[in-house]
Amino acid sequence: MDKQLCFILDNENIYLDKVLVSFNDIPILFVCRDSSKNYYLVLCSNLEELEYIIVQQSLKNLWSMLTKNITMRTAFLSCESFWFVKSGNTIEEDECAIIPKPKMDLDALPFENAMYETISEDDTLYVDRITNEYLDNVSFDLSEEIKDITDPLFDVISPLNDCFGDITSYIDFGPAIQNIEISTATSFSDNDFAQTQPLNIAYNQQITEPKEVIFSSFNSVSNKSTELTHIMGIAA
Amino acid sequence: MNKEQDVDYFNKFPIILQAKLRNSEIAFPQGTQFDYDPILAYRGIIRNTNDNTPVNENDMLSHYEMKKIPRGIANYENDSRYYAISLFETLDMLKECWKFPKPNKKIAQGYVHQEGGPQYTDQKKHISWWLYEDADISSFVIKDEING
Repeated sequence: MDKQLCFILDNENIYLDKVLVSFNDIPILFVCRDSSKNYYLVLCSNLEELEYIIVQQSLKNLWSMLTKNITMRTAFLSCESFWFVKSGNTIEEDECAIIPKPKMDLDALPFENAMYETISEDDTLYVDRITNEYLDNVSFDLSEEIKDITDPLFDVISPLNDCFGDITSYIDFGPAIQNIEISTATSFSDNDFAQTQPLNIAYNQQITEPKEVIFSSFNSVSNKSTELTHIMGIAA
Repeated sequence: MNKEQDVDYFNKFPIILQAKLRNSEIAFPQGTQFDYDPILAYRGIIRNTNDNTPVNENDMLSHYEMKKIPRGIANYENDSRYYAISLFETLDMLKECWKFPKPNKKIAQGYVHQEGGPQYTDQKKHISWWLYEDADISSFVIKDEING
């Protein structure tokens, strides 16, 4: 598919990557990329004059916004400066200026606490793509990175009440993490582990020799007995 | 002869669209319906909070009529969608727009009907409606709340 040019910033062509939100088919929030594959988040701040606020985004920030770890407003305010673009008759005639963050029109930004929501299958596929790209590049030495990944997994499995139940949804961690084991132990006291049984998981690749245990975490759902869920991931 | 082959049929449309259709520069997408039951639909319209001006033809302009090519969409002057107005069968996408303070906006609710022109509805419940000249849009009113 031909790349669609949206802006020229500092002599760099900026192309459309994905429209996230449209008002009557007019994109008001969208993602762009340059030839170096840097990401930009774009907000149409004035629909009648076609004015835009553009901030460069780290892959992590973009992923965090798309997966609802940060608000859309936070994503825009994460940068020290931004481009303000007033559309000309052609892209080459746009008026572009770099503005320091304190001068950003905060009234144009998404409302506080407003999270991005996927609407269509296209949106979901895009989030998956960014997630895989992020996980391919992230360093798992940072505990903060690990928490970002394990927290969503807890949301998936914590409602399980039956230790032999199937996981009804799964998260593809991409090739960076392999051989995820998920097991539930039913115990009647904190120190009494009756048995562990592996649950069916939709994503599991065998590796012959683990290199390093990257993370292990516990989550507990208390019912009549104490259920502990243990997750271990092994880096590729 | 189907409607698309009937050049007299093109006379129903605004002049610029007539010319494009007659010259075969554009064509309606496959699946466009010319005979259909009325469809309840929603469209975002630009309004300040205290502005209760009834829905009118200025709220039902295509990208071509607005002389706009916003960034993030292809320059599709030879795509029939450029001459259609956008509506939605559900409020899902429009609800997302309410997370953004600008533009000041309200929801128009009404019926897309065959007497107004042909329409195409995609899988995302987005409706492209090619309005005839002087199409009746009187069924559209401002909806009170974005939710429900």
